Amino acid sequence: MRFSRSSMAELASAAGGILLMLSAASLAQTTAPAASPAQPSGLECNGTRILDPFKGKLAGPDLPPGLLPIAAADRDKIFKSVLLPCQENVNPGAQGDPAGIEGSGLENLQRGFDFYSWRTFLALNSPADGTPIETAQAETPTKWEHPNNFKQLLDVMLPSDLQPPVWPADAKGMNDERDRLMPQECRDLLNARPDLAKDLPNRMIVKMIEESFNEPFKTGPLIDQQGHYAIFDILMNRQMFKYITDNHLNTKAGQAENADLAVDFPPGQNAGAAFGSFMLKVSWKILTPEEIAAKTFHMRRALVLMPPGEKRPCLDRTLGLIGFHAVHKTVGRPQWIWTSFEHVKNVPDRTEVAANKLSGPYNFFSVKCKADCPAENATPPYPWDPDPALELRFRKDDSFKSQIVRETSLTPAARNMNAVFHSMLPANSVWQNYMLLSTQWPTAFATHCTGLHTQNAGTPAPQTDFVKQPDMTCSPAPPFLANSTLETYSQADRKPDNKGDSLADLRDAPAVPLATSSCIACHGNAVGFQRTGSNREAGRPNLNQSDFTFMLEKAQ
Amino acid sequence: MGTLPTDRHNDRPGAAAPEPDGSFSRRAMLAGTMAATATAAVAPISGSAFAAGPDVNSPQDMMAFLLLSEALTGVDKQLLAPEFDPKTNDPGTDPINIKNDYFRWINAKDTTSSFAAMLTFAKKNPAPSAADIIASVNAGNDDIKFLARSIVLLWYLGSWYEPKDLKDQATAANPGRINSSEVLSPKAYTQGLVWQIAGAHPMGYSNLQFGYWSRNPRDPNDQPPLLPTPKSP
Repeated sequence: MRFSRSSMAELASAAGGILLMLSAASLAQTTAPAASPAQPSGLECNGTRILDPFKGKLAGPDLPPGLLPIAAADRDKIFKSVLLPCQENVNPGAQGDPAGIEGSGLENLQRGFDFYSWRTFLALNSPADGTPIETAQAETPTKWEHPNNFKQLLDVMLPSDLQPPVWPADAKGMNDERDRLMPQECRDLLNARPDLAKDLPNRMIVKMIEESFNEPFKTGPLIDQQGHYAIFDILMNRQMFKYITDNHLNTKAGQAENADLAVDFPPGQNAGAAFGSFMLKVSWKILTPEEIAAKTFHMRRALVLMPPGEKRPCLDRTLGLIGFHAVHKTVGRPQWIWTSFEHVKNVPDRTEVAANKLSGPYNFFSVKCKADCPAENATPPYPWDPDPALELRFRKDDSFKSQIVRETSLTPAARNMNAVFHSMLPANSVWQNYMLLSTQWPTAFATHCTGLHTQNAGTPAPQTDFVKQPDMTCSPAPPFLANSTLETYSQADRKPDNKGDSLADLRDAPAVPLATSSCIACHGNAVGFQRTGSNREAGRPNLNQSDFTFMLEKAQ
Repeated sequence: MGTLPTDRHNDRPGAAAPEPDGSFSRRAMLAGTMAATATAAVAPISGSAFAAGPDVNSPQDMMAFLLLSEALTGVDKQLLAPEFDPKTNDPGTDPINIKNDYFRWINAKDTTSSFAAMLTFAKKNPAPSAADIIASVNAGNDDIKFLARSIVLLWYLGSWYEPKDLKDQATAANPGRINSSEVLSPKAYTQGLVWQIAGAHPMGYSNLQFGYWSRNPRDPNDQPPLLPTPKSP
């Protein structure tokens, strides 16, 4: 079957007009799970189990000999089906072919999740017009960038004096909503620049807040080799949007009123081919003309509205994708599945730096500096807030550029999975420049987290884990995971240089729980503005947790 | 703690039971880079120059350690070592694997060969009961008995109390604090059994759900399901 039968969007720009044509029939074709008949449309996912066909152990250290090239039949099974998985399909034992067994249950599961992650990444980055990813160009708009499939957080968490957000199914409706929420500063720019107004259908509108330039835990901005801020954006799919708006979670007041709600986003599952809840966090680099010409980044032209302040310039910029966090809630993993990709040229590994085996240029590391190199992995000097006059340059004299090193190398398993998928893409595909870091997923099947489904027999479908104690996190594997662009400053610290005794690796562990980045551990602490009284009836839990997303705290 | 519920969502087409018989389920922590190779890469350090001392990579020694620990702590070995496959010494799907850290630590700190002796208590044939193991420990010398105390504290608190310090305090006229205890690692700090049993958490780390303090802690021995399901949206 060819790709994305339901996504027949064509982007056609007529002079001065926007034409997004989406087949109403295909959008209405949703396969709703048994539990909730009013499933929103959007991306189609594949509810059949597709096992990874790669023969041999991928956990390394090297690729199994003779694995590449992947047989055309195996490749077709992946690429000629609907790419996007509805849920993970993993197994502590063999994937299917006996040759596909890793050395341990954990490695088998990790491999299953990494396979799932690559399929998800390729599916979401496939062209929005339905053509296959193999023919995509660097600037081809992707499915996740299409307004039918994902909506930016700031277009959902609107000020309470605005009409609530809507997400119509038709192109005109979606465009009207985009127009309604167009910032005044950008309108002014479009009025002054007819060329931009004409290009508007092809532009992403990125509205910045503090989290758009300041990394989690307010650890600091990331500055590229041209002295510009990296930009972060957060998006959600229709299923998340529907849950938020149905339950009035898009405003503080709505959340506070709905205090009794145990926030539980709908999960994806193979049964009924339900995609479930999906959120994205992406990182962008402002591209130079040379980088645009080189086409080594997936890129989009954008209008970028600077963060709130006295002045909020709306800037005409071309953005290049440098990081991609994909988070999917499934019925098997109610703690969600956390996938992280990044551009292959972001930063060198610590091992490469130590051996001086650098292959620059890098986006966030200078190979040319000598004695004057900035401190590695240091946060930029204060002040951090972007100066409107500098239009997303960090300093007027570009005196600071982040010098970032990846402290924890990719595992051989991740490297090998990357090599396999890269081998199945055309050699000149822009997607050769993106690699999976790892997938973080909850491991504990019982005991210390209440199982992957609620133990209460009477619970209605989809029976996700309403009561997530005692261990909210369900023991994630790998325990720590950091993207060099999105969790730059909460990587595991460099190991101390002591002449270790036999216990040094155990005792002087560079990774510290909660201080070192772990998707699930951090997001397990996410809450919203629900308030409930103390002294509740005996046995009634207070569940103010917001189901692993910080989106709800952005409500106004 | 009884049979663990089977996980039906662990997709395995056609399979009935998720785990092979005899393997437990428990978390083991993997450092992000090392994966399962960590257990193989680390050479055990024993007190003697000969390789006859306890070996963290030996399935038999690890199994003995778990039986010993189960007897000493009163906590089921399935909780001490979730997901552990005793046949292959495979931590299974447990990314934390705290038992390996504890084994290595005890082995390195014990200079009296008491650890090796205690493992033999658990290796007796026929397989000893917990009571048998305790009896053997109590029949041992002071080195063995106080190392046993250190092991209990290690599992419960994630901290190491030297057997010698425990002995000094036990026989002191005015017993006081032991200030020489040492938290093994950031990982051990979070894995103490005391937190899981109390339904609490150490300072600076919690994996409990927001709002957990508003309800009674759950007795880990309770088999019935947790609280009534709150009303669905």
